Amino acid sequence: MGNGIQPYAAAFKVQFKNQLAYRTDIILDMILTMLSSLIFVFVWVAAYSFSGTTSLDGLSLTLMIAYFVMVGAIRQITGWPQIINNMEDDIKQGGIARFMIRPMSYTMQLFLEALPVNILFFVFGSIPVIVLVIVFGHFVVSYQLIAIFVVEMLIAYFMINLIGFMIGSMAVYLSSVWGIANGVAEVFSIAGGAIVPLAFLSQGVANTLMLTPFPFMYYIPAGTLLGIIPMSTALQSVAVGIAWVAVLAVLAHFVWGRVKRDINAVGG
Amino acid sequence: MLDGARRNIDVFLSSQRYTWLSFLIYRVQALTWIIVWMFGTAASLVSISVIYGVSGGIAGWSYYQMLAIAALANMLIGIVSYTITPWNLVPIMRLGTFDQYLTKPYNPIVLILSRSGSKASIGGVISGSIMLVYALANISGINPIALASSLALFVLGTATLVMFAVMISLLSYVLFRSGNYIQWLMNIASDTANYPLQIYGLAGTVLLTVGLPVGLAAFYPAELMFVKIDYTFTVGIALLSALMLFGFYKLSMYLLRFYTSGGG
Repeated sequence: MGNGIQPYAAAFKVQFKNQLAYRTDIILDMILTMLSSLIFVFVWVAAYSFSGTTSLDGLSLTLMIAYFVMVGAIRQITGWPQIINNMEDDIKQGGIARFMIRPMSYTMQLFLEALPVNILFFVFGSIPVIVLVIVFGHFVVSYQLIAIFVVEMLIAYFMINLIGFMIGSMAVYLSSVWGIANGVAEVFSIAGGAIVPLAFLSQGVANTLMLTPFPFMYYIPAGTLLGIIPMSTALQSVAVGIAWVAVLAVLAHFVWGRVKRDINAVGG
Repeated sequence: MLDGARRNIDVFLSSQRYTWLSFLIYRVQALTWIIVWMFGTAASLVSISVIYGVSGGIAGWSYYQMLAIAALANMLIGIVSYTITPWNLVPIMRLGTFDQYLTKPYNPIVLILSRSGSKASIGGVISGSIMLVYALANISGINPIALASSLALFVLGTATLVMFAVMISLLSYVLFRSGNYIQWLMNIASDTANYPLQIYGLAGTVLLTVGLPVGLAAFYPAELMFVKIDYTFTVGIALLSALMLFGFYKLSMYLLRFYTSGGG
């Protein structure tokens, strides 16, 4: 078993070193990802100010600012699955042939290729911002809450990568998967709470969305840590999320099983 | 001079025909991309509707007036992306295929504008236009002269932003040999244009007027449309826009001198 893991560990190590070589790129990525969420901080500050109130639908301005900064931090991981770009390049440029003749699973190699950049973004982009939000916002966060948040982030990570894997697979049939990937990312932003917290939507719409994978990308992790979502609802969401990961994993397995029969590599 | 202008317009239109035919070869994909561009307008509609649903909104702007700003912003970014997409242009230059453009007897900026844009962004122009018509249909007492003037200001502001995008893409090529971050920055700037500039404070207003001039084509035309600015200020904004358009054009031509052929 040790020998089975060794090549993957080596591949991971190489990828990690590769990513560290582009430190400026990573820092710029992090800053720009945060900026897109910060626009909503300005918008909501203006809305609270004009309304002359400190609370809208039970959410204070401080909580709202913290929410959007938190969304920016979470977006570093869930905003765009790198796996899509890697798969499209492999399939279009024929590099997939090189991967498939290796005595390693292509899908595992894909995930390992994307993992180092995700780790770097999480450690240097997400965690410091989350800590700053908690400290400066004076939020009381228990160990239990942190544990649930970590589980939710893992669920979101698996979800977005499994969805990304299925979209990337479509590169076999399409000249580019950019359109689908961008569309899915936009839907996740709207329905996932990156634009407005789901608490502001009507009860029926919010409850329905909570049963889908969308809010795992932004609303559920940010809402849990900031106390917008009660602990009991967060625990229910974890159960829903695990079920979705299982469903998406089965779907991805079937999609890949079908797609890999149609791969035509012409070089690489 | 007129003959030169006609030749440049001809080559631009011919390129449009060619790129549209190439784009429409994959019909399902083309339709998907166009619809994806419309999601941006949907996101603006959702955010503004929720903001006005739970709060009093933004000071000085009614719900439909806010929709009009967001509609102009969506149309704006659609038109800019239709003509210039930094992450398409920079690879063309880096791979050396830009040589072919420079050997042709046309203005290189016209060739850049005719070849490096994304046809799918027409989706943003369509959805933005629909939202603008919807917003205006729900606002009573619109002054037709103010409306016509604001659309003229929008056209001028959009031309300025297009030329700014060309200039910044060329600068990005010269400095980094990459257009990715400029594209990203342009996308963020277009998101900021969905809302009145005053929410970003004085520094933000100045930045989004002269630094990253998205306000020239969305915010100020919307202000004029609803007669929130007077004649003198409008003329000032139009002059500033025209001046910046000229400056960005000259700077773009200058930056083209730094193009290094990579083969191709």
